[in-house]
Amino acid sequence: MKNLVTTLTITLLVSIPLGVLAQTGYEIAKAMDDQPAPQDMQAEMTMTLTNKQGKSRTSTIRSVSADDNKKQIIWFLAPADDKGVAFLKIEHANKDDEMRLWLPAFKKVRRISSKKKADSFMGSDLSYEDMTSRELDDYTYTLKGSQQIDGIDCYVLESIPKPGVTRTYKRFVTYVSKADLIAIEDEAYDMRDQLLKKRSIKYHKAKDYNLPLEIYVENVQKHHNTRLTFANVTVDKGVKDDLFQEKNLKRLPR
Amino acid sequence: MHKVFIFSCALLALLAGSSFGQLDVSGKLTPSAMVRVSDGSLIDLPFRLGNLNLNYSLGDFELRTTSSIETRWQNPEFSVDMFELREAYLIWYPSFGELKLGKMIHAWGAADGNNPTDNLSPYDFYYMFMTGTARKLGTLSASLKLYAGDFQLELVGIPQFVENRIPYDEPDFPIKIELPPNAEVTLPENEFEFGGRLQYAMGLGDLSLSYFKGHDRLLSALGLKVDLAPGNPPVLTLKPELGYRATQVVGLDGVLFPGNWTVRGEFAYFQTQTDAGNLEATLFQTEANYLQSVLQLEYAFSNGLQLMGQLISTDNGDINTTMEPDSTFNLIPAQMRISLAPPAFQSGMGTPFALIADRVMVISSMIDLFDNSLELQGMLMANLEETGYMTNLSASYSLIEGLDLSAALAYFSGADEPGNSFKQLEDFSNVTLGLTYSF
Repeated sequence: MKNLVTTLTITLLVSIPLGVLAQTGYEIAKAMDDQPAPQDMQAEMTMTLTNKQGKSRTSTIRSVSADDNKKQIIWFLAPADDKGVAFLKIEHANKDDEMRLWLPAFKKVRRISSKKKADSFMGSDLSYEDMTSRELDDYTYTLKGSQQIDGIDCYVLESIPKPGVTRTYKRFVTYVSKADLIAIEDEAYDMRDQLLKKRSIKYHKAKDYNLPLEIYVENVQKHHNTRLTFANVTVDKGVKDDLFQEKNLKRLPR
Repeated sequence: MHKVFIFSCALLALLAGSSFGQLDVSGKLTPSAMVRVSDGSLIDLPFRLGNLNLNYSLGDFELRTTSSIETRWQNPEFSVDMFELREAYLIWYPSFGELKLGKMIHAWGAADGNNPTDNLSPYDFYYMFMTGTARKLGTLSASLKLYAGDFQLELVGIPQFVENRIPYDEPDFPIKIELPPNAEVTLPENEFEFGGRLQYAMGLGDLSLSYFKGHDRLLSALGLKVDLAPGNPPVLTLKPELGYRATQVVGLDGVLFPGNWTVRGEFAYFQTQTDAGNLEATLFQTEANYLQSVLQLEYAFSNGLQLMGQLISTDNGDINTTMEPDSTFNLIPAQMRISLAPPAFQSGMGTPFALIADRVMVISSMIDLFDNSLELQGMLMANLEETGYMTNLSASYSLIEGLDLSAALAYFSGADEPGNSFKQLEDFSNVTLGLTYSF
């Protein structure tokens, strides 16, 4: 779910000024990155995991993120056996990111490794890497052409991590709406260059932002998918920095 | 009646207040049964039938309660004693941290399950093989936690001493714990206990330094009282005096993330001495120090399999026990006095598994399958100082949302050596079946 916010931040959330007509891959990515993004965002999400037999499991989540999604706190509200579990992520520029889980049954905040980025987040098709922001300068961008996606004219943008940048994906192919400069679909390839995940995102417009309405992630290798639907989305509410402290993991949001 | 009254009042107050704040109700029903592997007989120990959590929040204040119902399958007693208010405390969340007051369970330490630095809350030995707060007891206490950048400081005060809950005279409990006949127990004179923990979050991981000053949670021998009743011949009675040593603990714990591994560790240095207060008796004055440590290594595979290894060690340092006879000691016949000696030292604080062995290795693994519908766990605990091990295999399957069925096999084996603790546990090898309904 956070993936939403994260991926959104860089890849998705964009409304481009009409005067900017990006031509190269980097210019497109830069234009997307330069778009106004909310200072903070709060949302209730429903996360539905569906396996290849069609069996589903649904969780209800509340998320608050800020600082370009570099800080995020997530509370699980349902199902009952997950209720109260909470997750805090703080990305740092000059040291390793912090990720902490509050486990009510243990009354402990457990710091977890931010290096195992390929691990699944709470059994979903989102990995911890999917939930962290993609830094613009960490990738090399190539414009691969144009394509229609659901009737929307899109740029096809390939992003490859630069040498020295540790990522669990070899590359991404993103379909960017030419009109809005937002990502409509995104394909993530594993280190063997096999397609691993496909993501599609639906938006709604609020204020000057394109905010996520639904994100659908399919792990094509495992035939498993995760659908995140957003409700009660609010932005720019002046979320305080001290919200992203351990103590707030223990407090279910109102 | 007292417990029910308090609980009813709390519930009514929460319900009445729910129109102003937010009332959150959750809990679990957890019926389970444990049978011996050897003969299929039921192991008659108490278990928690369920628990109920009521949380009421209003602004920056929150009231949390956790209560449970405990019963047993054979000869259950239906009384108010089944009900236990395990926690009931108020929390205030100011901008600088959190302040808690009431009956609560504390949890310190970076390692999983075995925490030598975690000595604030006593253990419930009936639930010794459970995880998390399920095996701890709440105590009346106050806690202040301050947040400042990468630092956290927690201060805890506990005004009332509470000892571990020990299954005395419980035939089905695997470790035989018996009080000597005629023994008298003396509570600490000054019951107040306190501690503090400073945590620093680094990029590499977390590091914490802690201190706790309190009392052992297990009984040890304080001394002997000698009575000589008139008669022909006179009747000599030796009455063992038991109590809780005064103990202070300096702890260091942390978590680091080298490469794709996670390393958690805890070191606790204990300094303990007899706290006999004004007891008039022949005293066994003990002064001792010992070190307990847990080193934990974790690795998560890309398929979701998690492996964890733990090395749990206890190393005794200087142990000095002297006998200080009082005036009645001379009443004991000289030939008997020779056989009277202070008992061997045993630690009274720290991780409970230190009671079983001084050096233990634990290897465990866990994997979630079928969208978290099936959880499989395996664990091997080996005593490194004598031949003995425990294996535990468990599975939990989600039947429908909120309802899980679980089964576990715990198997103990030890060599035929005198005093081998795992040999003593062999008859406790068991299969546990349980249901968990979460709401």
